[in-house]
Amino acid sequence: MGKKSIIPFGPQHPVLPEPIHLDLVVEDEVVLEATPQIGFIHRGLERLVQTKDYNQFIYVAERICGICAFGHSMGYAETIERLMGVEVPKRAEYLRVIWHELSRVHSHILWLGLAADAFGHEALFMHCWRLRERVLDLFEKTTGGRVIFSVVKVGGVQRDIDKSMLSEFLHVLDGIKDEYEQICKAFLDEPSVRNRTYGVGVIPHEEALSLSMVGPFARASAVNYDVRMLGNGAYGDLSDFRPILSDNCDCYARMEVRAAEVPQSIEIIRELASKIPDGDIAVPVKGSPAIGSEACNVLEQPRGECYYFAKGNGTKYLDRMRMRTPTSQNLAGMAVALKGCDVADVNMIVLTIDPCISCTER
Amino acid sequence: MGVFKLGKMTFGSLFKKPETVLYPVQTKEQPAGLKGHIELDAKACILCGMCDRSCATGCITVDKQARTWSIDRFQCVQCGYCITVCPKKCLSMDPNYAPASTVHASDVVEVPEQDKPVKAEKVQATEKPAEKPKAAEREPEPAKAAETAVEKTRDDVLEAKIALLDEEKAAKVRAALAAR
Amino acid sequence: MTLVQEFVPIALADLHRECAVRKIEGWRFIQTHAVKTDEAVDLYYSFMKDGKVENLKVEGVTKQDAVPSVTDLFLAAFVFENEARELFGVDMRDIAIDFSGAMYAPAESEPMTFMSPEQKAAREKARKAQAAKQAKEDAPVKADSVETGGARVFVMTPERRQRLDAKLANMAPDKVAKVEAALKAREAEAAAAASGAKAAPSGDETAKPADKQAAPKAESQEPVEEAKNPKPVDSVLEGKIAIMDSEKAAKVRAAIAARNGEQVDGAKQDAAAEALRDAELEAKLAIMGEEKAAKVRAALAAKAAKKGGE
Repeated sequence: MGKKSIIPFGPQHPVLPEPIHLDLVVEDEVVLEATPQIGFIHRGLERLVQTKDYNQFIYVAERICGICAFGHSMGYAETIERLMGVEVPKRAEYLRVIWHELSRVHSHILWLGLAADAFGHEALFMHCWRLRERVLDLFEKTTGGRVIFSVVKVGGVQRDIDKSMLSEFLHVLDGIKDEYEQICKAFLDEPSVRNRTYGVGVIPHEEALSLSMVGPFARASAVNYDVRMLGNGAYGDLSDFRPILSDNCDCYARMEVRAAEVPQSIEIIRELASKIPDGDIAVPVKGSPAIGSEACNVLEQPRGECYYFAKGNGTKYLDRMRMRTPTSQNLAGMAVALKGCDVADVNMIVLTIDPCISCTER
Repeated sequence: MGVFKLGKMTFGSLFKKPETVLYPVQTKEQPAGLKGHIELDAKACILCGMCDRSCATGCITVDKQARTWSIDRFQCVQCGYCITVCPKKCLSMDPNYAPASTVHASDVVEVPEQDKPVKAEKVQATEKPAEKPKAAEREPEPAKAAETAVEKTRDDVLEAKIALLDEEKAAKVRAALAAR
Repeated sequence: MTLVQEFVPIALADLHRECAVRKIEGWRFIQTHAVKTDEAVDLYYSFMKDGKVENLKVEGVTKQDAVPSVTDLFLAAFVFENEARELFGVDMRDIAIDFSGAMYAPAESEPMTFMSPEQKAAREKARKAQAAKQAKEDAPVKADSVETGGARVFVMTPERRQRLDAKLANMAPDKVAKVEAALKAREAEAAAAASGAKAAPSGDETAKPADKQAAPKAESQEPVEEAKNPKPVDSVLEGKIAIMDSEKAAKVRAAIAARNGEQVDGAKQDAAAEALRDAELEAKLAIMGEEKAAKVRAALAAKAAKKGGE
């Protein structure tokens, strides 16, 4: 029997991708308890809504996070449109979803690379990020930005994607597909990867439900929930959408779910690109949200469900803007998953919730 | 044996041309719509200041007296909101990134004096106060029949209205009234 | 959009029980957040089930109210509850993972409760604009309700009184007195006008009030027709007034009252109209800022002096 000791872990630690601090209570090599602590990069962006008007804030919203930037601007715009009762043209909805799914592809490939880095597979990491670069090039061509696009506005989108560009999208994504399959094989079949992830950080299905986990983290514990299946916006026009689930409940399952979501997103882009209607890409939005009007909205970000809430006060500034990001919801799940694991597995488990602390703290 | 899952890809990349470019020698081609930096077409600018007021980072400054438009390139986030609000569409996004610099300074663009837009501005300035009394006239219009009575009340109405306006405008309107 | 959103106000005492009920019913906890209002803080607890988002809204939580934590039911709430305490100063009790104010450790305590003077001013302005809009919506109703003839008669309807009371509540006492005086003057005038109106024949249903075409026609006939039958013009006018917003309407009415005064009863009515106008002006001044009011008064005095000189 060893004696209990506490290891401070993070916020700056070689294996942690994000500034999160963990107090690990360990006995020998086993973690008995883990207390997450955030608050190192709180920027008060929710406060900023009071000094930037609702059109300007969209550029703040997309700077909440460097990876789900598009998702935040889209979720924010949808919330304001709900608040003000604006009907967005169909084409704008399709374009938003196409970009959003593309950013899911880039986010998941980025995450796979980070995971490879976490279990020490440098070459796999490089290959993942090489593929991601092609997706970023697509963004660059259509929006003018690689990470932050500034392409959504309240009432629609600012730029259109023409037909030839859409077919280029599909061409590039097809080109990725072949190499992506090889990478996935390396992730899912390689014994060294399996040894590192199989049976690590298990969260049973019931616990995942009671911890109200979201995103791929929850779906890996067979929680059948994905905001996309509610059919908001252009998601409603998909012929078939089924969340990808796994009942392994461990780190391997989370990797499996994310790996399978990339082809699914590509399929969504393909379907929407073939169905996209012609028409306007934006409607003019005049006036300001009414006093006391409230609206909420949910959106499936690459990391899971993101909740938005906005309250108007009659001016062009909002009373309150709330963004509940997926990671803050998953922190409780992470603390539970860390209980009973080895110290060496901590970084793997932290990584598999795909933490985005800058989202969490805003 | 599942160890060399990446073998095919790794060996393949030995014979492919590299994904990267030899940077300072070669540069990547900029796509047309790239968000590089904001450019001003000084000839078309009317110095209305919409870009100044709408900029989320406050990097644009419009000085009407000095007839300058300046931008702090280090603060600009290339969101393009100023381009969408510009009434004359004289702002545009250039696909080339702003060059690096050793000093933190704003780029200042002098907006040349133009005959036409300036005149238009002046005309507007004189028109504005004239419009107000007109608007005031319109209200008692239905009661045209009793002109004299209306005249009296109109003064009251005007006074009350002027009181509601802010100082600057009120002064203008009064001047216009006196002239009339 | 198929997402259904709902905001359900509940009492603070029921909060924990409601959350427990939702836990048993299988709702998924989404989040908790606080919203700063003028006096206190509103807390929102969001739940989702079958594509429906329900936001339980606890209104008016003050610093003295102890809010029970829901982390015993939903552990995921610990981030949001710590956040509400640090940024909004809500007194959260028994949070499962309690940072006791050191999660964000903001440099200023409760940074989200601070509101700059400019923001306050902007909000006030927005509120006034809404009040004006409300009044505009009410204006047609007013026009119908107090129609007794050619002259506009001021009647203190209960709704009007209510609105006025609300306004008066925010004013300084001396201003309130002024407004009350103005009201009395107006009521007296209204009584006089009503008696005058009874003498004139009523029943202007025939001239469609909202018909804009009728106005110029009626005006063209005026020199001959007016003395004989001033009714149609008035009713047309009333229709027009009804479409205007309240401020304008009041002005136009003052003008008409003045005119009617001159035509119907001559000097006596004229004086009454004058009094009415003065009263109205006074009331207006009372709502204005001190500075502006002073200016307007000066202007009026100057005008009166000029008139006297003539």
